[in-house]
Amino acid sequence: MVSMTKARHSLGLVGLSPIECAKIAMFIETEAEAAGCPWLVLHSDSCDALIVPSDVEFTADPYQVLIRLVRYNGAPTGGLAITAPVNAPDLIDILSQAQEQLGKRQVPAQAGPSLRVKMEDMETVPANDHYDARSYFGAQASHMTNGSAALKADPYAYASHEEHLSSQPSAMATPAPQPAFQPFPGSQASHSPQPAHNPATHAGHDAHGEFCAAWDQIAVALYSIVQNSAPAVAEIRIENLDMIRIDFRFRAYNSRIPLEHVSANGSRIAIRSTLVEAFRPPIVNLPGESLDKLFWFIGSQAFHGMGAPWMKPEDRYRLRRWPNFTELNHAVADMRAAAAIGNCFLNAAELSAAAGITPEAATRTLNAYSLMGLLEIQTDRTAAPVVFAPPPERASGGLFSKLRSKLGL
Amino acid sequence: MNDLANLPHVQFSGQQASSPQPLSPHKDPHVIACANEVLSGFADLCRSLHHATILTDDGFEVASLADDVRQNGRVASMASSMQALGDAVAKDLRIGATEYIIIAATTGYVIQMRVPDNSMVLAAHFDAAETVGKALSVARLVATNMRTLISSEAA
Amino acid sequence: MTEHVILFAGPMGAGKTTAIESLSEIETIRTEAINTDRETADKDTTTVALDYGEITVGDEDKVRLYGLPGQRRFDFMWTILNERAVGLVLLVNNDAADPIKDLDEFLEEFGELHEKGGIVVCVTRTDVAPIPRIDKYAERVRELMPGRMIPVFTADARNSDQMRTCLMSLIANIEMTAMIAASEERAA
Repeated sequence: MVSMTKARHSLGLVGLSPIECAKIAMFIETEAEAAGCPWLVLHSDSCDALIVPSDVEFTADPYQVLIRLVRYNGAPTGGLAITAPVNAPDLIDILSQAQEQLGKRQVPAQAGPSLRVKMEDMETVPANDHYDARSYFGAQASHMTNGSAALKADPYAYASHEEHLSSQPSAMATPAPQPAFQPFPGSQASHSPQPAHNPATHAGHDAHGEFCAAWDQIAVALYSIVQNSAPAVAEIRIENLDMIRIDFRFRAYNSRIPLEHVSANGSRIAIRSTLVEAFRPPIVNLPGESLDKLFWFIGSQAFHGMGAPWMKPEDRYRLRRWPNFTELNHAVADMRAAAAIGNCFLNAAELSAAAGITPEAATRTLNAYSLMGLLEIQTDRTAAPVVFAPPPERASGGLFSKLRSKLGL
Repeated sequence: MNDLANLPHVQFSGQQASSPQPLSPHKDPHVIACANEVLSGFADLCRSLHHATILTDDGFEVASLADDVRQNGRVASMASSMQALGDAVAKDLRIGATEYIIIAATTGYVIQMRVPDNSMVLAAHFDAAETVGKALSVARLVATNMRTLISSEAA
Repeated sequence: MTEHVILFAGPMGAGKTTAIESLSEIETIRTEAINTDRETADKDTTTVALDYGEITVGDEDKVRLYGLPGQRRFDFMWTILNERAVGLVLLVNNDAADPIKDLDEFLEEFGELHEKGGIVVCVTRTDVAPIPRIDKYAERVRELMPGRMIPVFTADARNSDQMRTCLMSLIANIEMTAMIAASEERAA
């Protein structure tokens, strides 16, 4: 068995030079390869911890740990600090201290590791409102820096793939070490074996649950990049398979292998991303595949059927537009789910009831839609929920159900 | 069902060997002149004629007897649809090519007939005083004249 | 037997006839004439009355698929067929001179069908013209019909699977909208 660990905390590099960023990213990546460094470097100022130059005025949020980078001749600062030029032992040491502080700050309900990303909390706002506006990628966010993140799959998942995939399906269901994400109301934190579904489709597919673990971090990283709206490119490397190249400026990606194969073999996965000037040529062969297709895939794989960390269980969501199902690997049930959440604000439990899908499938659907930037949020807790009765599956045969049977879908 | 081979062959008088696209009948001055000529003769042949239009198969007016431009265009479109529906019914029932279409109403009737060997249709509105037989005969004569005139002009 | 009339509308050359052929389980009825208007659409034939296809579902339901002529001069056919329709598949070819304007015009003409049932927008020929992107259509639909959720897809009219997705989404949306309305009525 190969020993690997998961990234548990996100580290944002703010206002650093490209060389400083590259060095820090490289140290972390190397450390992750060797000993399982639990840090994920992101292009975001809303990470668990931030490294910021000591001469830059910056205020961290209460949940964040701030690490000051003291450059040559810089004055020492209070709190956590690291001195330039950065070296690996000092960096790992300071990150250990940061990790310790983060551990103390965690509330009991969130005893597990956490990956934090920024989330606006307005009355009704797009959950990922910069996502679908290409023009936003024309302007580079000043706080963003180049960086990389090395992510590893859960070791048990890796072993499962080697030894138990077909012979011991129950072992696949053994809970992997998980971040303490809150499932949405009504959804089950399901680690139990699920009936076999077509893994290529979205609603209700769980057959490769353990392999999903690595996608958690990938999803968070991608969400973070999209949130920042700066022109960026990324590469997702999958061991023994291939590389997925992403160009956020063109909302496109290239992969020589079908995503379904990634799902079945995704044992070691790493993501590396960097900023690019808007005028630079694309890193994908255009038109490429739609980024929605990748986000749909990753969003449905990640988080083990629990809510994505940026989503709030008490919120309700509604589609801003339908996903483009003709380019997504979808199930018929996904259409009904889209119809439900396209017409009213729903949480996972309500979506499950409305669309006749499992709570876990509903949660996965919400995760995917959120990553794709398709959701708007209703934070009004007093809004009356929509009661669907009778559930559509039990209704006496609507045209949808009849056509579904007729067309063999 | 319908394909190009089943549609009437098109001969346009304005067509030139070097031209990449033949001129559409409703834009071809020669075809329009021929249509105006046969329609004016039509009115002389049959006093119960209220209105007549020669149109392309796809619903463009080539020439009309009446001056109401809007109505002429509308008749052309509707006659085109009717002709196509008639063709579709005939084809579906396997009863051969459509010869003519008659719409009989309380105070008059409409006869539609394709101009032979052309992708054009004659649509004529008669009042109830006319017998259907005579109206049909006259309409057939006008349609044939149109074909002859276009062919001779082209030659 | 219950009939469900679904219209296929959109500008000339958007793929309405082909879409119905992709979906129909009977040989489609077509009313095509030689196209003399090559400036608008460079294709050999054009629909001048209607296309017709159907899907029979058991002994109880028949889905009738009617394709409308794309040119406005045939708008009398639009009116005739609109009366019986419960849903609309609006096809817009992305390689048109101004496809968003085409969307505007057809939504203005057929927008009320959303109240009678539902609408789905299918953007075709994106393989030859990738711009405008589908987001632009969705955005425009939101502007023109605020508060209504109308699915927008890219689609190849020749692809039966994709056209089925469009049709099924339309029906899912129609049924869900009706169910929500019924739930709200009961609650009120």
